[in-house]
Amino acid sequence: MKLAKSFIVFFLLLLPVRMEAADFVLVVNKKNPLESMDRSDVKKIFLGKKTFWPDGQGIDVVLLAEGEVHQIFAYDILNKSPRQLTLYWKQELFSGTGVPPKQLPDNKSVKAAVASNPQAIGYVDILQFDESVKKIKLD
Amino acid sequence: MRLINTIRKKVWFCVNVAFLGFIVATGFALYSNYQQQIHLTHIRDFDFHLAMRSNELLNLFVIQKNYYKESFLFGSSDSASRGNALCEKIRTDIEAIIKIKRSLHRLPVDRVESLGLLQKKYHEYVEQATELYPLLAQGNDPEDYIEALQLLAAAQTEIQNDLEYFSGFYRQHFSNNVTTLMRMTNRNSAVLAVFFVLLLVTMSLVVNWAAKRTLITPLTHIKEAVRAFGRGQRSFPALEDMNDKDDIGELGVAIRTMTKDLVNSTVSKAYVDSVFHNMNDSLIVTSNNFLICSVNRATLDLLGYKDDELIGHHVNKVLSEFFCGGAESEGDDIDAELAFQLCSNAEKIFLTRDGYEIPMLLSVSLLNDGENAAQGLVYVAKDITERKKAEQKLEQMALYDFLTGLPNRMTFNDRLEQTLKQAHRKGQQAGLMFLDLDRFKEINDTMGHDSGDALLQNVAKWLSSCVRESDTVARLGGDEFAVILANLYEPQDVVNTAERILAAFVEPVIYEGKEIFSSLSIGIALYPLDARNSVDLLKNADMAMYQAKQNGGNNYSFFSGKINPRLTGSSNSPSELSEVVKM
Repeated sequence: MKLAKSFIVFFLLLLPVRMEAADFVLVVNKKNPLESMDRSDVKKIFLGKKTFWPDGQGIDVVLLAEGEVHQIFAYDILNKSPRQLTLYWKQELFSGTGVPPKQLPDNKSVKAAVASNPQAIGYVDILQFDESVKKIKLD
Repeated sequence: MRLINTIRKKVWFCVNVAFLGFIVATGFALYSNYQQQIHLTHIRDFDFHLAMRSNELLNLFVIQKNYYKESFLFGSSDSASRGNALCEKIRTDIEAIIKIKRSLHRLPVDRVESLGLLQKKYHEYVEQATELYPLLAQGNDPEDYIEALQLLAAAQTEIQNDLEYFSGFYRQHFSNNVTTLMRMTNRNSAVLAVFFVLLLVTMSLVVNWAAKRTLITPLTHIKEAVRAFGRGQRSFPALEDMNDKDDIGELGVAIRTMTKDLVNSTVSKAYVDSVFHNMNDSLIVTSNNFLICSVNRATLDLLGYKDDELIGHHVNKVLSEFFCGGAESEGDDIDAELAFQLCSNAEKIFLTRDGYEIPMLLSVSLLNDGENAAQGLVYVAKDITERKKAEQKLEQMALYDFLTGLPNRMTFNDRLEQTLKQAHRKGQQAGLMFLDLDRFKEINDTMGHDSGDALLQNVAKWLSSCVRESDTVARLGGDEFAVILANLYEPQDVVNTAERILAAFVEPVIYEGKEIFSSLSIGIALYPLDARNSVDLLKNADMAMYQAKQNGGNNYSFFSGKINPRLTGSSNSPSELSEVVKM
């Protein structure tokens, strides 16, 4: 119990530091009507378990290339390390249950991809956010 | 049944029936086991193999898939080649299963076809997989092969599903067959149990029937026949139809023959009892100590007893003058004591219940059965009352006159002798009268012999009434009588007697309405005065009678040789002759 408590305290201390150091923001196309999403829904979407928007349109997932923001996103939303996420998608690919999402090299290309595709969803460094895409709040 | 004639064969028959039952039961059990064996063999050779092989195939496929997965996820070429190495094995297994299935004609063909389809699918899958996965393992970007990978994954899933289906199906099939076999085994067990029980009952009934028919019934007949024989029965219908070719039948026939022989050669108790009870002579059987054991009916009738009044009592209850033997000493010599009782045709007296004496001719013999000591005595007695009477009659006839009942001449001589001897011994006198009827011949001739006899009987009566008890009146023959007067005090007594006699003759004898008058002449001789012996005395009395007849009859006369002076002339006065016959 003691150990668990100390772990919780550790994470509580750790999180604000990280968020201060580097953070991401979830983005969609401006045509997308959604304003906010559940964390669990986001997780489902990024693990390929949920592939349709509520209006029936398919979801195109866009990932950011390896880097601090991707790592934070993977830990924070998917509870996985980036490597685990890669393996996860390889498994999905091997068993034929899913196709790994596209991984774009930088924030700029991600913003471009989301801005150009009404069905897309992605994330970018919070500092690189601009009005070309729409920010989604996390509940 | 005719053939089964010895006890050995009968027992073997029963044993063989039981054995036959055992063989049949064993046969059924063997057949049942054989059926199960066929099923088990089938299950082992086909169902079990199919289940095992299909399961193994599934496992191999999964292993192969995992090798490929490993190689894909971690870029391990080693795993990819291991996966490739399993291809051949999996192909062989599929072929083996198809071969087994083909040999099973009873399975539906479509399953074999779907197996062929699976084989084809796997073949295509393997062709691509063996190329693609090693390639990816070597570090090629999977992005370039996404389409191929997806096809492969789809084929993989399809094949795995198929394999799982087959594996499950065959496992189920195996399980079902085993369950069926178990059910069949249970059913067989139940059927066999029922069959065994029925067989046991049938065999028991057959053995029981055979034993009863061939052993027990004949033996029972024999047993009952022997018991009946003991009770006295002499014919045994149950034994009549016995067959002497048969062991037990032979026994029955032997018993039948034996009883017939016994009937012919020995007497039955009933026969002895019949003889015992129906014999006219009296028969008494006693024990060693003279207690009556049995008496026959003749004895009971004769003595007026009931049998329980005699049985157990001492024999002296009926036998008077019973004497114990000389052996007084504590019966240490029973045989001697018994022997003392033995007799043959002895005259003994039996006592009746009412105390009468019955003369019996008794024979006593020992009761023994051969070598053993005597067990008692047998008294055989004949009632001789009638014979005794006859003997007395004969004696009467020899010593007494038939017509008058008076002593005859022989008796007279004897009495005279006795009287004279007594008189001599005591120094007494005795007198003898010799009497003769006057003109008896005349009466006899004119009136008939019956009248004469009646007259003589009357004379005898008169004479007897005229003398003392101690005197003897005798008929010497014809119309001659004599009177012995014993113990005579004085001669006057003789005179008185003579005159009494003569006076008695005054009365006539009435016979058939006719009066017969008679008289007689009396001659008197005295002892020891007139003679010293009987012959002389009689002769002298005769002479005196003759003298009286000379004097005209109806008179008495003393012997004249030595006439007593006192009597001389006083007695010779002749009486008037009475009329002999008065019509």
